[in-house]
Amino acid sequence: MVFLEYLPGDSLFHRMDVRPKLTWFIVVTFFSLIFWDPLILGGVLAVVLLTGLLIKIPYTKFENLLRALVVPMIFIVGFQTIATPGNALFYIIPSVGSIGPWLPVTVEGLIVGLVFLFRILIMVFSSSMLTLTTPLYHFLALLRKVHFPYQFAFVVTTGIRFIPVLEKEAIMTIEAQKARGADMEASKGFMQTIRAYIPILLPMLINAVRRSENLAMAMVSRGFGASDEWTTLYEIKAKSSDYVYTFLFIAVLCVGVYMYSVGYGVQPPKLWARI
Amino acid sequence: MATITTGIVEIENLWYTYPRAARPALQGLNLTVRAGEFLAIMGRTGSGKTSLCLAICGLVPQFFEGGEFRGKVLVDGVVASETPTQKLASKVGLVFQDSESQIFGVTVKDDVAFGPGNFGLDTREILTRVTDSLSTVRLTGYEDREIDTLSGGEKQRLALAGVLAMKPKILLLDEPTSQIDPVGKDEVFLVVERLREDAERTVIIVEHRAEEIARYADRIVVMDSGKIALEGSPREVFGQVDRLYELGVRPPQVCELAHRLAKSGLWSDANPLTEDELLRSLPLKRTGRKDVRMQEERLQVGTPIIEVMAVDHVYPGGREALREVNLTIRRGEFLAIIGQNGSGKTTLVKHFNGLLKPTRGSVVVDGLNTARTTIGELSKRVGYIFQNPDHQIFARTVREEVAYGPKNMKLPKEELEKRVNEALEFVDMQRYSDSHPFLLAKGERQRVAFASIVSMRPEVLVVDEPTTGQDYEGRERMMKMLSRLNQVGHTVVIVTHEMTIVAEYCRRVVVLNQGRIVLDGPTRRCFSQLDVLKESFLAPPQITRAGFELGFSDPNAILTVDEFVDLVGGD
Repeated sequence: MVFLEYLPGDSLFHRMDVRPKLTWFIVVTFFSLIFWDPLILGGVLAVVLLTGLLIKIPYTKFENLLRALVVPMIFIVGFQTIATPGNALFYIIPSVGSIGPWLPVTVEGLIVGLVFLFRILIMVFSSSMLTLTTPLYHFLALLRKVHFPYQFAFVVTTGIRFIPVLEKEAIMTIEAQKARGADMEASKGFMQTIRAYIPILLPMLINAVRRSENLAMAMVSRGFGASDEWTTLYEIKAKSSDYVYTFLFIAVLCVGVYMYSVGYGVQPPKLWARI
Repeated sequence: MATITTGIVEIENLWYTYPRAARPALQGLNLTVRAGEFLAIMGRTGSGKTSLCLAICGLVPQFFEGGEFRGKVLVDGVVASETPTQKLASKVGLVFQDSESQIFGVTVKDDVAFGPGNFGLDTREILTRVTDSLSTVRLTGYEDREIDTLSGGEKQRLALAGVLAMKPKILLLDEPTSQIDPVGKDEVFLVVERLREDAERTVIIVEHRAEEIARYADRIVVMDSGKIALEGSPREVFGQVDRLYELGVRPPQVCELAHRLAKSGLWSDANPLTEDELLRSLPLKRTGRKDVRMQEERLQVGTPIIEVMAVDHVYPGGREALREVNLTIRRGEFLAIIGQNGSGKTTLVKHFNGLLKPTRGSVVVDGLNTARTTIGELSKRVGYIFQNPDHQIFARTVREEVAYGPKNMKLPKEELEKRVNEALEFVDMQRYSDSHPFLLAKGERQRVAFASIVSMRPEVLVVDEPTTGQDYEGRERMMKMLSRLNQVGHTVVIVTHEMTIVAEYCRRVVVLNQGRIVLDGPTRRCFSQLDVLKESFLAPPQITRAGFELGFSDPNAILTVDEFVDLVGGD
């Protein structure tokens, strides 16, 4: 579980209540999605990375995340670079005789590509920093505090609880089919690949359905739905410093909203395009 | 006749048919359970044990839509079929077979708090209950552990704690130990024993393990076809050995022995329930007849088929699962690999068909080095039958399922048809060949999975826990099938926790402890090494232990009830 792992620690962020942390996350998200100026986004990314340094998140954690994201990142940035019209710097496919040139790389495209790169990095880092420093039950306690429906909160935790179970089941199924000579790699073509995976996906699906009936019985027999009131073990308490932080983050958010309303940084900078 | 309420559970003429089921699961059942009683329910698979549990906690009929319910179930003065199950949860707690599907928390503490949390109790009260129930099941200190770091036995005890935290007067345990290893089973029974001491608590347990039941239960009811067929104290019930066989229940081995001796007129005045009782009253003295020569086992049957040479296996992450393992398996052997969970049994046998490759050393199967051979190629020689058939069944018909392996071998159509038919005949499932495998009962699905390997005609069969979760009859059927395959020349390797089947069927035993082979030899010799077995958390069958006390030790250890009878009466 890379994305929902909690990393115990004693940093400022660890000690902070879930509410200011969530506000911080919302502010960062707002900035990264609204603004198009690479300078502003670069600044936000710097702030996020600085925070990461402050929480002492091991470098390997980020490395693993980045490694998983390299391919989609290249794809998105590359696509934006090519798809944005503007002043062509050069063409990926140069003209041969009367054919071409095709796929221009434009200055505007490079800027937009950079903006998207910053956005992905900001979102990945900030969201994982939030989950790495916040135990799951803090989120659940928050859900309860805002009178979120219990059933839904329950679905969230049970889902998380069963990730390792399903993983184990998948391994067993793959091994059982391999022992019957199943060959996952040799098949060629899309349809054949899908066909090769049916013997693995189907048993897993059927087992999940079977299990869900047992789960439902076990839930009911442990009083699920007995009362409208529900208690979690954990109470979240905001300290005075947490109020200060929340206030601070909201102030930053207001600055962002003001910038947005006057139109500052919401367009890819025209000036740059004229270079 | 006026009914006088004497029991905490009162069941009167209970009939129940599940939706879309052909015949009723419960057929006119009557049962009274006294408060504080420890009641054991036994019976073959499909006799209605689980349905009875579900009826007591109200899930039958309330959970299933369209079932047919008749009769009356009174639980602590409340009509169970009409009280919402959630409300009944504070009176009756049910622990299911599969611990995995009844744990909801991400951490141990979360999960125990789930039940009381549903009742909206305040946090302090919940925390007290969490602490108390974890201490009862001996899991104190585990509060913040994540669920997937727990062993099978720990998970089952956690499930028990989750139920205890709701403070039910009646505790229902539905085969709580059928899915876990012997150490885990002992841990659970240690807790069960503690629960028994609480005179206020009523415990109803469904369990196959007769030896434990003989020790703990106040009363046993044996079910058959949705009714109670036999009822009484453990001594009364386990004394009726022939009747129990008819009902698909195996009594403790000492009861079987006493029965056999009585039948042959050798000993008729005792009805022992435990080893100690047997030893105290058996008319054979400890000095016994040690001179009886056991038949010498023929072991070295053929040429080597699997050779494991100086194998180490280290999992990614660094866990050392096998150390310096050397093992030669010859054609025609019937071999058991035993050891506690985590001893490396499964890791070892997964090397036989190439699912795992050695980190150091080499494994040679039929002349092929597994490091350089594909699993596909090896699977033609070594068939591997997994414990749970549901991890492999995917096809629309039984025939198609059984044909999957041979198809992967790219056999010509005629040969394929022939093998599939043979395999289906072997497991006696021809009449189901066009049925949907998902709709079959668990035991039948197990046979389909078995046939799907047999149809590939591998020389070696590796079977991972062939009898786990099965009743007496299912166990016998499975072992008889393996014996037949062995007799026609297949090499059979089983991984198991059940010592009685090892003693009855396997000629050679390999004991693993912490990744090393600590014993390897004929079953009789291995089962005589009490100290080594004990260090590996294993114990030979009850009858063998009783034999030791009478002086039948190495090399004359008694393996089965039959042998014991032969020895005593074999003049």
